[in-house]
Amino acid sequence: MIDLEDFSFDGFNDVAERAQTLGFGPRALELQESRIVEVRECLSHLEVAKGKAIVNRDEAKANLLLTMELSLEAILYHLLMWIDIKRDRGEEAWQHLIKAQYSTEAAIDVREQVIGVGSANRLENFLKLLLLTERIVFPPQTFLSIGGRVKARECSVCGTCYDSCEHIKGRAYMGEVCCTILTMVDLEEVSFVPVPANKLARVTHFQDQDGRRNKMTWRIE
Amino acid sequence: MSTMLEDYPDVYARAEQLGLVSPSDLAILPDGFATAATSDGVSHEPDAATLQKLIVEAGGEIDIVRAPDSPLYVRVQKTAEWVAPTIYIATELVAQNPDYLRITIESLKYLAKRAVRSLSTSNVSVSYVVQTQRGAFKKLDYVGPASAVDDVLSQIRQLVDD
Repeated sequence: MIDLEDFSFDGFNDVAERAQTLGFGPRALELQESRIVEVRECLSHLEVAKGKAIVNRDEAKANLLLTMELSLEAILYHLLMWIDIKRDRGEEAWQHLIKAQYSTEAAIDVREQVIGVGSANRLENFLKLLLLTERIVFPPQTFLSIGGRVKARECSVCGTCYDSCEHIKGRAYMGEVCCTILTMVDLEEVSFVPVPANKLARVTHFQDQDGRRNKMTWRIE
Repeated sequence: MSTMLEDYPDVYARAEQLGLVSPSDLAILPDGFATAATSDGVSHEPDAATLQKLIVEAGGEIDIVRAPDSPLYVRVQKTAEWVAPTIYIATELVAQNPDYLRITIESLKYLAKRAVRSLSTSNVSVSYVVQTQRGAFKKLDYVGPASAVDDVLSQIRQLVDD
């Protein structure tokens, strides 16, 4: 059992559950906004605890705290999404939804690595909810993607060439998720894609007979 | 789940034609390997290196076919739909290192399951190029659930024995 001497696992669970209770459209806006403050405070504590684990080179603890951080971030973004919708900030709502999805996926990956924290079923169910929300709450999007050849990419953990280092994309190392950073790309094309690698790359406006229309809000801008 | 079988060019001859390092008994072939006119037309799927690392971590070995002394060129991941790296399996592998094949397919399955997690489909496509006992080369294309990627193991073994 990993010793979280300076961080309360029960406290984290309480914050997460209270936030999730408010993660629905009809929940009172003022309650959702005040819950954001609590969640952000908890995330700050997590960051401090993780920092200490990293300084002490306690990788198991750092990774456990990372999975908690990612899970809580996902919940935070989900709440922010609903707040944005109510405050008529459609673009920001989409960004928060997608960040919630990405944080949840990362949390699932890291959780599978961390021994002794149980299955990722709840996170997987939360991801399903977020994907359903994307289809039901938001209008259909038009996504773009680049095509090309990557000539060089770096590992985010060690900074060396990903293809020859020992780190594996999606794994946690001392509280940090490994990803690849593309440093040299031959761009060949840009195309519309139905299922993009990056859901933040989308058409935001188009021109019609009334003017420049925002594809999310449908306003003329 | 469906599998499709078709003839494939001589893997070693193609590698030589393209100026690539000759594949070992278990290797990852680049996209465009069968049809590219030159090595400029080939690059690997984004997960080639990750797959290799997973296999090595599990105790296996696999090469990534590329030009000598050349960095690994991969395709930009354009869509969320996962394209598996193409796996080449030589006849000798199944006899000499059967575990490596199992490890490879299990690693592919792990990547496949992770890739479809946020997609509306749980289906993936995985291609295997197999060298038969008679020296022919066959490509086996699997399309089906990520969770069943390892179901082709027995089919691959049968193909090798052909």
